[in-house]
Amino acid sequence: MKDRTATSSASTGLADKNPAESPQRTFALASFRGLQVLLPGLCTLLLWELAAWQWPSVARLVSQPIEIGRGIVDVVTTGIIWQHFDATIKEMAAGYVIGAVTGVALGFLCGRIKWLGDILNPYITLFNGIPKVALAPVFVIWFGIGLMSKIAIIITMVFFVVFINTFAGLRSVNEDYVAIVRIMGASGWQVVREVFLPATLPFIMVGLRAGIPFSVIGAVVGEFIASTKGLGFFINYNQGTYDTNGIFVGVTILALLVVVLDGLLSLVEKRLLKWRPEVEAKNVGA
Amino acid sequence: MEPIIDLAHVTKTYRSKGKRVLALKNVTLPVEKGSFTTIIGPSGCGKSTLLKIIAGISLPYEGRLNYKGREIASINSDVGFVTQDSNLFPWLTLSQNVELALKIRGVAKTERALVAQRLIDTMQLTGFETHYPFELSGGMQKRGSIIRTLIYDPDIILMDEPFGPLDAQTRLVLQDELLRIWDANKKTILFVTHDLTEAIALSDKVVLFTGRPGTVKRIFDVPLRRPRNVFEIHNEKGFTDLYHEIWSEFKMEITV
Repeated sequence: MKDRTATSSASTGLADKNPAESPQRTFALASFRGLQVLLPGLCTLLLWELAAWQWPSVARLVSQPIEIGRGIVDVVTTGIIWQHFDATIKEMAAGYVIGAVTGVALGFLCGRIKWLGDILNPYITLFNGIPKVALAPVFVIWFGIGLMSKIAIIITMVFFVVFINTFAGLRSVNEDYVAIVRIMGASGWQVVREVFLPATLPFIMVGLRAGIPFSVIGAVVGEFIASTKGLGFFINYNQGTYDTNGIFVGVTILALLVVVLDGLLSLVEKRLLKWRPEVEAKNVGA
Repeated sequence: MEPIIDLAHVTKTYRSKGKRVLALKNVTLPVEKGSFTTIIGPSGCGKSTLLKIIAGISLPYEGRLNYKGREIASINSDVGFVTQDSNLFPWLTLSQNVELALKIRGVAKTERALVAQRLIDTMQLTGFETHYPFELSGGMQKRGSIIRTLIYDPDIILMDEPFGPLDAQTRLVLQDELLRIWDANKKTILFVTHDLTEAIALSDKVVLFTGRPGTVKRIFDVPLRRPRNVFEIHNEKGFTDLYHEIWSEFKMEITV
């Protein structure tokens, strides 16, 4: 009396996994795909470098990859970048954590307590409409030119993106799930732990990942306006001395920082959300 | 015998877009302990609403609804509810889904794993314990959703068109398995369907509902012998007569 479809569709029907995936083959495929991703970037760098050799005016405007690389090695080995890196990372960490935690918490409250959501939502929409960057000068007046003003800017930016995603996640929870655990005898807290948290997690992760570039933007904008250190200050300083290479060194470090942080978060996400079917097509190019 | 569920003149209205909608009107229906009762009726007749009221998730109502002699005023966690969609939680593996009710009720980990494994084995889901729902076929998910309800041993199982989304063969197989489970445990089952053959094949009583607002039009006894063979139910003596008798009344309620 066995379900005929059981074994065949155990691995999700249409987007079937490759049945003959040996470890070597998997590794070869992964390296191949890695190369596929890197190739356009490497080509761009190469063209950029060649163009800079050919036309010196290009090099003056946008520098050139080898010089940027040399510049990065330079600021790292002499150590002059560390105080800037340190300041920006501290601002980002503090602003991101506070913004994310309050975003998730308030998103949960507004998502589950209907009257609270109904009252607060219009205000949150209103404040979200304000370009947060425009508030940066005010924060500098309020909190001074130190880390605090940057942290405040980052909080406002990260809060909204996390809040909005958390809220949307809660409003989309399948009410059948809630009814099922209630009938099983779940208390209010158990409903939150067994249904609302796991069901909302994918949405929260989207908010958290979107928040990373925002925290960089917040830090840099704040440092542009008034600061004595930070990667934004470093870039701004080099602009003042017409050092394009110095600007690109700063920009590249910021970009690498975002890539690393996003990569770390996506690892966390993969682990937490392993219950979701893989979205990306499995066998492209294989 | 004292009925385990006793509905008398139950009426349910709810608000939709500012208007009052009458979903159930004056429903009187006793359900005997250990019986298999099926409610059949046109879509939108409030069959599902009735199950939700009994489970205490669609309150309040007018009239009297006694469950084991007491009024239902809040969530009724003595019942089990099997929804139309399997609704296994996608973030839990099969065995975690099956164990969920016991986890909520504070049963120790090793003990609940033991009970879950026994049920998983009886439903021929062995080997799929650590699979997530998306890795299971529709029929397997449905089995999972039935045993996650059975695991806490509810007095009554309310089933809301549970086999509706399945293909015809899987349906028959699961109907057969459901009857075997029912035979072994003698739980009370209140089953909603829109499929007349399914209703007759499974139940002791078929309750025919009118179109909206739903009310009991007639209750038919199903005298077919047990245990039943759902695969050959058409050939069972008395099936055809009963089918036509119910259908002649059922078709009057269906407006397309």
